Amino acid sequence: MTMEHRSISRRSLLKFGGGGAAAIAIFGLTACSEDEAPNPFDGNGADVKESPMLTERVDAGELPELAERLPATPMEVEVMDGPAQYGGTLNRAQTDVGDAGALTAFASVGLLEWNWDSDGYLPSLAEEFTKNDTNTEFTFVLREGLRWSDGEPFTSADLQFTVDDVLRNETTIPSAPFWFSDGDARPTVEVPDERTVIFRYTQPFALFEKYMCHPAVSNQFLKPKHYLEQFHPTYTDQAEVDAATAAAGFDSWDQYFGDRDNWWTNPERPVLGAYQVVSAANAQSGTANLERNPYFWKVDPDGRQLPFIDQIQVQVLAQDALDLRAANGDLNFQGNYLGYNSAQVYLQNAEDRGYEMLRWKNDATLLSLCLNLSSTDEVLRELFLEVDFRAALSHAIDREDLNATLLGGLGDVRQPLATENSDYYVEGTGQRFIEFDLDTANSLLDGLGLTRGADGVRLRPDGQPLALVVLYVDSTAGVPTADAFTMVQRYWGEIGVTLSLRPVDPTLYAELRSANDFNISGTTVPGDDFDLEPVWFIPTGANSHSGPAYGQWYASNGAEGMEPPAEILALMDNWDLLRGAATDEERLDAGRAIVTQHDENVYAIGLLGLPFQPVIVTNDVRGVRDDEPKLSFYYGREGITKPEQISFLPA
Amino acid sequence: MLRFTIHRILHVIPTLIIISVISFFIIQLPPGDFLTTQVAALEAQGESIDPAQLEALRVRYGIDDPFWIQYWKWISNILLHGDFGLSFQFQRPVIDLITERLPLTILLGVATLLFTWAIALPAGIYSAIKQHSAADYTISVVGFIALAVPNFLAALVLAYIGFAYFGQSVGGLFSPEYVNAPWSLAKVGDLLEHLWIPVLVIGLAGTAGIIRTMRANMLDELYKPYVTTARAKGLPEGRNIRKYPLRIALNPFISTVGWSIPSIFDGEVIVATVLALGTTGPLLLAALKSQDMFLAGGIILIIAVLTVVGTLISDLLLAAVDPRVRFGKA
Repeated sequence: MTMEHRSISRRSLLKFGGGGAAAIAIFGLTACSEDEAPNPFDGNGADVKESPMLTERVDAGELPELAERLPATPMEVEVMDGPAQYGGTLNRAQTDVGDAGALTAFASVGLLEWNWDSDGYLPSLAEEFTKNDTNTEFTFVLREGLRWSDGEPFTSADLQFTVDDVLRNETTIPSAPFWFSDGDARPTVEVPDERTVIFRYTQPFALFEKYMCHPAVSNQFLKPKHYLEQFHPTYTDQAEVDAATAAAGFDSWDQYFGDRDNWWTNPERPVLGAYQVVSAANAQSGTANLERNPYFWKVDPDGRQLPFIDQIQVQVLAQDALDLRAANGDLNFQGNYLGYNSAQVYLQNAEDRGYEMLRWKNDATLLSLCLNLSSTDEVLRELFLEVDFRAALSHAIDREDLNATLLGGLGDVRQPLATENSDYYVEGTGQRFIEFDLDTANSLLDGLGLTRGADGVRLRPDGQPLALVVLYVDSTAGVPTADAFTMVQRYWGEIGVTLSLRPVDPTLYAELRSANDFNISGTTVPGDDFDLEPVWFIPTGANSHSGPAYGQWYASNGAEGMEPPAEILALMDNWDLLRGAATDEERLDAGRAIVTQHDENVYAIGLLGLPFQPVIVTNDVRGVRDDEPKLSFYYGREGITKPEQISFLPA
Repeated sequence: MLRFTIHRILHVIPTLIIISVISFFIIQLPPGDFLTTQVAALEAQGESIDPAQLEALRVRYGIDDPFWIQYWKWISNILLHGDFGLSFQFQRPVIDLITERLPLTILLGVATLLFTWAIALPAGIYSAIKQHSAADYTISVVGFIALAVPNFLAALVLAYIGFAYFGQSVGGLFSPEYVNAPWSLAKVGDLLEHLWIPVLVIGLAGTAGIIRTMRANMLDELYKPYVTTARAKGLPEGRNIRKYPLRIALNPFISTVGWSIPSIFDGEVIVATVLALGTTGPLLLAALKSQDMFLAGGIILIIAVLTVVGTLISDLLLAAVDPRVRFGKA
């Protein structure tokens, strides 16, 4: 079965790619069967405008000339280290079969994309972007002559298909995702001509551009109509679609549609990104092979088609095997899935095995304690809602000691709020209640009337001992959670607060949280980009870390959950303002109000953040940023370095 | 014999039904379901799902249906259509996922079984013949050490040695350049290069038991009068052992060969996971972790059915060999 599948995809590849594919096969064979690998950069100087592997296919008559494959105005990308050479295979690894992160990082596409500093947008597939001044109408003009990876034109019809037949379709997407809802409805799209697309919202949506840059979201707007319509009953006879669905083993057409639309698992789906999957990791080999998209529409300043690297291979491994591979120099460029706790091993082997370990910034995340402000225990809830109580707990933590013990003094000590790198940063925030001060902590608790019993443990107003439980997922990938919380346990013992640790499985963790069944959630809190993911800061859903019952109340418009007190309502109001702001200024004001409120009230008590995120780059790879950018999901992780411009050094 | 066979086969049916219910029940035991796992996984990656969307998906996948309805849907599809359902996690039919991993799983299983027997049977025979000698004690000690070292640890240590001293790519059954290449002699060679670690790790752990059984069986037989007679009549010792006691002593292995079928199929979950082998083991573990119900259920059901079938085969073999079994029980 396996072999059959594989040989079929090989054959179709040959049909599609003919001589080029044969050339790869031959190249692969010679490279493997003989000891010395041929130089893949032969005859591949700066005057060559496209990858030699594509030139061969052009010569064989299977591909049109480069000029016909590129749009009228290709997008120009600055190359970090000057003119580069084509060719090579980049090796990567991951632990999760289903994670399309490699594509999001290396082949993300959107109408817009992040600029080099990730603080604003660049027009990308769209040549022009305008919006009205109420943030309700967004107009894009696509580049002329864009093509999918199979050579078909990419036009506004594709966007209309995506919006009308997928995003607005209640079978394919039962409930509007956060980035595609317009109050209770969903936004609409209008396409006056082949290149123009207008998105219309009835309510202002201030985060639209950000989401269009967010690589995991922007890509979902781009679906190849000419390919997918054969799986959609609006365009193809229902009986035909149903038969194909059943033949493929799916229960309903939308599942099959989703499967065909998956760019990580379906090699046949045309893409617009720099790379396309040619064999999926989903198969028994657990290895995905990605190959360059011959119609990719970005060029370097000399007009040479990007990307420089021809192929990417992604292997699915267990974490230990992945760490060993990384330390062996087997992974060419990787940050995602590398743990800080293995940094020592990476460093030790770097010189011998020919790679460098860069220290990128991580997501501005801090290991923190989020008190459940909507706790079902009324006494605790009242206590948790007292800022003095939270401040006392925060003052009682010796962060210098934590830092010295767990991270050798290198860790990040502050409260979990937006940092200087964020638009929402407010001068001077993040430092409140941070100093270790048992006297202040004790007097704050005394002030709340929490007297100590005979054994030194404080008593709750109802006479019970004050005992709290922290719920967390045990992990050593970041700041070792169990160690950190054990230390907090000791610190809080000093002020008469008993803390118990409850490590749970990730599933149970999510379950208990949405059941509102916990005292404290021990979690890493990302600070900077909270507008793209409010769960840590504003209770907008039952998955909130600081008030699931309030979140449920918010999500259900008051039908379920618990009505929040005024201060939480104020947070939610500011969140609504942020989302619906008509101008950037309004949006930033609302965001800063949220940050300020968090700063004054320390809803989440920060412990410690990792000093850096290890990123491994082998010595033969060039063009990777060394200015310590952020490895963040919101910026496409490794994608922040614009990987289409990285290349291999000539052998 | 026929009566025994029919009886024995009839016993299998209720067993299978109970097994299928239990395996479905076990998968459902942990709190949460596939969707909460998804939410947890997405959160770990910094994403989150809208609660309303989650609810809609719940209804779509029938996750909130009562246990019996879910079970009935599942088992009737398998029995009537051979449809094991769709894996939530991979969004692919379960049967495809299993069948594409089967060849390597079986290869690993068979290779391990042969390796185990090739090491353990001679070792057991030798230590029986040379009972209480230094060799006997050495074999026993080594066997017990191999049994005592946890498999995953041995796999990690070997993987680390491969990395630290030989600069070998760790994980998987193929080197990166061969994983998706078509089959060729070079690829087979590459496979063999990687196959020895798991085979060694899994195989060694199983040897101790077989060595001890073989040794005990041989000791039973070696001093029986017929052996002594043969020896007295001048049959050379080697030939004597090969011809008589060995054959009898091998009996238990032949009659339990059916039990090896499930262990061949499960592909040694932990070792295969540590070494990232493309067998069904890691697939099962991943499915259980993410509560991918249909996938986990499918694999567990198949392994359970194979165990039952294997036991049936063993029983029938045993009954064929030893009349006491069929007269006593049936």
